[in-house]
Amino acid sequence: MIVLGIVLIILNVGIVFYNRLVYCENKVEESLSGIDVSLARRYDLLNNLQETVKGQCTYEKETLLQLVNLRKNMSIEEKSALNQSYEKIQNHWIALSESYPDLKANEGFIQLQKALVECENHIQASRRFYNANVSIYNQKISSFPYVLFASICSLEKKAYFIATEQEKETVKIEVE
Amino acid sequence: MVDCHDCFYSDDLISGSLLGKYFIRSDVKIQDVRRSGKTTTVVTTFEGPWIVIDFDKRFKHYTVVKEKEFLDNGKPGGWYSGKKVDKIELEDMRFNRKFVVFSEDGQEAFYLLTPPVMEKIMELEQRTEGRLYLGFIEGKLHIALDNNQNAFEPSLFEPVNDEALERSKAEIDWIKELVMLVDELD
Repeated sequence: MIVLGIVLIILNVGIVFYNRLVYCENKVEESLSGIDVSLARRYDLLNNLQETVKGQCTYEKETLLQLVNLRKNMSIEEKSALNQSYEKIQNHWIALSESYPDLKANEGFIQLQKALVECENHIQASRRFYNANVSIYNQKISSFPYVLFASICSLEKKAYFIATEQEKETVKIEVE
Repeated sequence: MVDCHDCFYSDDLISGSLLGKYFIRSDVKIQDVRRSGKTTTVVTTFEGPWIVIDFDKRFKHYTVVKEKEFLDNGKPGGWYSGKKVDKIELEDMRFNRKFVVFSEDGQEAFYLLTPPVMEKIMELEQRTEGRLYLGFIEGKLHIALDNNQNAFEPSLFEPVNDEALERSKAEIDWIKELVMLVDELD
């Protein structure tokens, strides 16, 4: 009877610790979806930006850059790289607009720039949220007693979402 | 505005607009009546200024930042009961040691509480005496300071001197400072 009681207590404690780990993992997944939403939004905005620029700068059609959309099952490293490529494309068009006063004054273009700044703020927030959850999760699976469950369930440390150089500082785009 | 309390008083309502932002403030006192057998005690859970300022940054969910010592109804997320909130751990350990954050949406909490905003909140906390509370609620920023004081209450039996006027001026300056701070945070 006593042995059964001890086994039940150990089992209960095990379930509690395991559930905490699952909760942390779910938080990481939840925050990852936030990154996906922000990246998809940035893709749409950049597409619109390209269309606007194309309409205004006829000589620049050949320089249209290839935007890669977010795919399912992309790893976090691939998403980081995708975000960095979006930043390069965005900087390219913003720099180009400097040579076209009409474009800079275009209401649609100004609105798109504002939306992109807002979108970058959301990406920064989702990156920080994701990385904070990954940090908690990684610390958990490295510490006792969670490390036992992590080895039994083959749980591994998760990768961080790497910030772009621009995100490490502040958003630099200036909207007039 | 505040649920789950038995007594609620407010006075010295001031409203206006500064830097294009509408604000409204009042001195607020909130009390709980607690009964235990034949004993009834009235406990003051908050007393101090409460200011609500327009906040331009768009957000949909409820987020609250409060000093750990801030008194409330003991529910996660504080006074605005009925909200399903999570405790949010931000990346700044200094901030986490001083404040506790609850939000309906973690990502939105990170969106509102950027590193510069956290820095400003910590600076504000250092400059003010009392326990600080900030609530991002329905497009507005609520700032409350639990300092057990009721401002704009000069004594009836003493002449209004420079010292009393300075105290009132300091209260007005504090409102201005908060509105300017919110303008920077937006």
